[in-house]
Amino acid sequence: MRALQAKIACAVASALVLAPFACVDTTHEDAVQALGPEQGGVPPGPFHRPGQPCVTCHGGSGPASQQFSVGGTVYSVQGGGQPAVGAVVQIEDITGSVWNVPTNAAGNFYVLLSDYSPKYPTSMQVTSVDGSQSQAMASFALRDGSCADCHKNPQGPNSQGPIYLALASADGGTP
Amino acid sequence: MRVGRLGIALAAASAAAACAFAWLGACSGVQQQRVGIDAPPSDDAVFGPVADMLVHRCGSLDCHGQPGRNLRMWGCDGMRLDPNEAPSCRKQQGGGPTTVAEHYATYRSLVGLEPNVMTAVYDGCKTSGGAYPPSPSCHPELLTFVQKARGIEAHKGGQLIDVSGVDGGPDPQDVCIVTWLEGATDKQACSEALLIPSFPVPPTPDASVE
Repeated sequence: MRALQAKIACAVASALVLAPFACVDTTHEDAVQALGPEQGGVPPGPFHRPGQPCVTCHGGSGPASQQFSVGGTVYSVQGGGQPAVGAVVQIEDITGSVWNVPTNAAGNFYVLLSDYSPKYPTSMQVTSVDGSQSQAMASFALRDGSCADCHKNPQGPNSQGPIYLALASADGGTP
Repeated sequence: MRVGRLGIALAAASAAAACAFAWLGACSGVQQQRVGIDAPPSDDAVFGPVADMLVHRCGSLDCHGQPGRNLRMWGCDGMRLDPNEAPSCRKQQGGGPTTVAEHYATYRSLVGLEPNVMTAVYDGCKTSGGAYPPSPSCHPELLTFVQKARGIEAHKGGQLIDVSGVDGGPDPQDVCIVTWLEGATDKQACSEALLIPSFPVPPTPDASVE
């Protein structure tokens, strides 16, 4: 009887010791840490961390409290750092459900999960504030709400580069 | 005493022989040998249309167009093989069309995923001659990638293929894959599969889409 009690006590103690470790998602923690501190003195809010993968922190696993379904940053010209302010990002999911969201002064846009939860795949298009310029995604997103996971800077074999409204011309200027 | 020395000598010789045998074995192990996979054809005329369909449907950068995936795919809709090319089919965006080398890289990734199962499936399918549905000896569903695409096996990307058919006919994605496993790719089906998925709402009419 004493041996059984000792075994149970041991099992409970082990569970208590190991439980905190079982709840830590180290992959997520690493992804959050890799984003580094806030940039340029901009505090957490709608204008912070342009170009970073929003849903890493806003995906429900923290540390951000607001949960996004989709989020990203749009720039005016391919390869440039000027944000596309007031552009409209149109998201359409495979059921035909459409959501439009404007970009803010940092070029950032985000959609709250409570407002719109698209069924993947999704197709996206971004149009300038005056409607004169537009870019549509040539492919589609299959599962990732963070635009910057695929649209990383710089462009490379695993990244299309940041989202932009206008292609850069051959001489580096706007088309 | 002589017998004892002889015994020791024999034991030492046996131990040395055993070590030598083990050493030889360690240096001529399985990794030195070629392992044959009896797989469907890799030549671009047969697999190219399948590769184009796969990278279009599964190979985006947020799915199988990632280096961390077991099943990796390369092409202009996703990850590029050439480090100087971007994930785009258009030159002006730093990309270009999917290359033959990317088709072959996708082929190696696909047939190397479950080589023994691939061999068994191809052995059973190659006599079907491109028929769809295939002959009873052909079992594509033994392959995990087929199970995942059909929604039989858990798949984060969800069910992509409807084996019961679409619009009154067979799912062209399934036809494309199965006929390749038979060694006779239905290229028309692979082309039709490039139109999937179809989004219900067209882009804003006044937008000048790139």
